[in-house]
Amino acid sequence: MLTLIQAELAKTVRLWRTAIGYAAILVVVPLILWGLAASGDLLSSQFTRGLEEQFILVGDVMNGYTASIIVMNFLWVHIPFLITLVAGDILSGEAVRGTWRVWLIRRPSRLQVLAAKYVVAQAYAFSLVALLAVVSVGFGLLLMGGGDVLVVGTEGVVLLGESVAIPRLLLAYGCAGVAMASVAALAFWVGTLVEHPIGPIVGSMAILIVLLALSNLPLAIFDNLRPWLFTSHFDVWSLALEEPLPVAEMARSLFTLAAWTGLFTGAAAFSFLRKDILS
Amino acid sequence: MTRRFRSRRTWLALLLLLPMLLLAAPRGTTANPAQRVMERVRLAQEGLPAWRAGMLIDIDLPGMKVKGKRVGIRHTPPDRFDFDAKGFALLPRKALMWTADSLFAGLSEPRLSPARPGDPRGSVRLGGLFREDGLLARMDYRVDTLRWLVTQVNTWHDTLKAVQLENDYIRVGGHWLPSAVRVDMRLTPELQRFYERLRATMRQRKTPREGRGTVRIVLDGHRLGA
Repeated sequence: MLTLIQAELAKTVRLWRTAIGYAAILVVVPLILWGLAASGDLLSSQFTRGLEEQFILVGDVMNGYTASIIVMNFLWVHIPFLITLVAGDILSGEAVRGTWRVWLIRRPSRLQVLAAKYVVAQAYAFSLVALLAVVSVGFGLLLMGGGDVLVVGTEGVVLLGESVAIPRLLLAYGCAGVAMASVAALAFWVGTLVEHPIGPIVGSMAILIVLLALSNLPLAIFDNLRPWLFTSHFDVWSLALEEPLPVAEMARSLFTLAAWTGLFTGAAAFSFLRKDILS
Repeated sequence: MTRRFRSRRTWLALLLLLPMLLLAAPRGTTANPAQRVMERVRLAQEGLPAWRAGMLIDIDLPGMKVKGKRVGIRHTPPDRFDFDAKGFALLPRKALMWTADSLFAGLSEPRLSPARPGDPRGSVRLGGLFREDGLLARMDYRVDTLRWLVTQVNTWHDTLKAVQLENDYIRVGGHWLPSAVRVDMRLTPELQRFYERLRATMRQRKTPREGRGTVRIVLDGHRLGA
């Protein structure tokens, strides 16, 4: 199994599509951080407008950690898109290359092949989030330095001390990884249904955009549906930055995301094990 | 005859006492005892040198949480305050009212009233009116007449207590400097507007609309003339 995963990993790493995700993060994130560092004062004053009457504001809101949190908003659409590029292609790419017949008529079993590909797809999703964390925090600290983190949470404004901010950011990126795992699982499942890599990319993104719209629309008719959508829990990472930590709400969101990941994975296995490779 | 003599002696004593009272009264005071108390508080702060201290701030207001933030403070009389914090800090203006000028700024119709049950010995109550946020606020100060320090300030909007500020002091080098502050306050319209302006996320934001909260500041490491 390990050999299968290594082989799959080697194959995936060699693909241009895989490099696009890493390159996008390495280029775009430092650029945004540089922009935030250059115009941080303006952003700070815009954010704190309305607080001056009641509070004396000391220091600057913008620092490496705060900028990293701003960059985490990429986790809504941009990072999911990069994940679907690889997770969607990992199965359908074999179909378009016509390699399924060679692969699946001998050992290892279909389930083992599927598991190896699934592990690589999930590893890619987590590696993108990890790279986002390293580049955001690393460049952010380099350009703007550290400091306290001003977070706008569900209960209002929270100022986290630097010593608290670092473990909370780590927790936030961990939660983001769980959210992105559900995207990888979705793209992986859609990849079992089609024969061309464009299909899972477009299909997964279409599903994501529709569900994100439903999650965001402030219409009462969707109130009962919203908690069940996995896209409604994409921002679970933001809960990790709240004070006190809303453990129950976080657990509920993480469980929902994990359940959807399991559902997509099960659906992918169901579809792949019954896949007709002869026609 | 004896009665008349006694009356004369009383008048004489009163005549002697009057110049003494006038001399003892601080300069510029008026006959209003409330204004005299305010003047005594101002005079007690005269001659205060610049001082420096560290502050540990805890804010637990509806929609705002700050835990254990350390900020350095430097006061240069009469009314200059400088702050120094690592990173970013929010300091509630209402919690930093120590100078007589800031405490009594805009106060009109001051009047004195007796201390309330539970007030420390030597306390008097000073009341007045103050215009805040377009509203006429009723102010109530508790003044410690043994040290001439304001130890409590209450702001009332109609029958609703909007803010209660309590100051503790420590004697450093012969001067009384603030050592602890506790503010109990309601969510202000400005803060409410600020929260409403914040971008809403998908997760339901509970925009704080009402409720009370506290701000606690503990000062330590006081140094005079710094």
